[in-house]
Amino acid sequence: MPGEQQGMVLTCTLCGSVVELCAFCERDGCGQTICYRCLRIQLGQSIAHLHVHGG
Amino acid sequence: MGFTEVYDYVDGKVDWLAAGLPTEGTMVGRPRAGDVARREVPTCRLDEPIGEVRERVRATGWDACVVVNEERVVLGLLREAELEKGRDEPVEQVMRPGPSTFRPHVSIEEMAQFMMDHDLPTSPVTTSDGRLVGLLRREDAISVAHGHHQHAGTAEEEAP
Repeated sequence: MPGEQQGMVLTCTLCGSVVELCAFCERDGCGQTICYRCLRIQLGQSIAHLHVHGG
Repeated sequence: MGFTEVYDYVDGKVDWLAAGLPTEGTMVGRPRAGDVARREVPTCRLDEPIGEVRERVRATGWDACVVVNEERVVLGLLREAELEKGRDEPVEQVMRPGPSTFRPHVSIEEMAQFMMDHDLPTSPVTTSDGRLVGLLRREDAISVAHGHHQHAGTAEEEAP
């Protein structure tokens, strides 16, 4: 399960990816650690999947 | 026409929004980070002595300074903690390098929530190519997000 810190490893609270710092505040103990990918999707700076449709 | 797979150039749409260009649709009235970020923000160069920058920044009443190059591309950030450090050292030695930056089209409500959750006082807003648009202050983000939320609620109540 994604968590803030598992042992000494910092993980994204949304997807569980291992990160060095929180992508939003650049701290390692903010309690809301988020990875760069999740942050971009959450803020609408990127999208999760290509918008694909038939020709 | 025989095309089997067709893709929208989605990165282009996001980039269009990120540049603050005109948009249409139901979200058009929502305030965004680029609307609220303050444009008149202290900036400095990598090689300036931190002591001089600190004095300049304090004189303007700010507690943060954005480190930029000649093209206003963001290279670093000096928040309160970094502004306290040193005197004659160049900014480059004390700055927070490569800070997280946010695009102008990001919803102010989401930015306000993130800034509260992460206890972050300021966030730089830049275009996709890293040029400084302004600095978003948490209190501005919260104030505008709260105002918009109330306005949206009133409009909903008044709707027939």
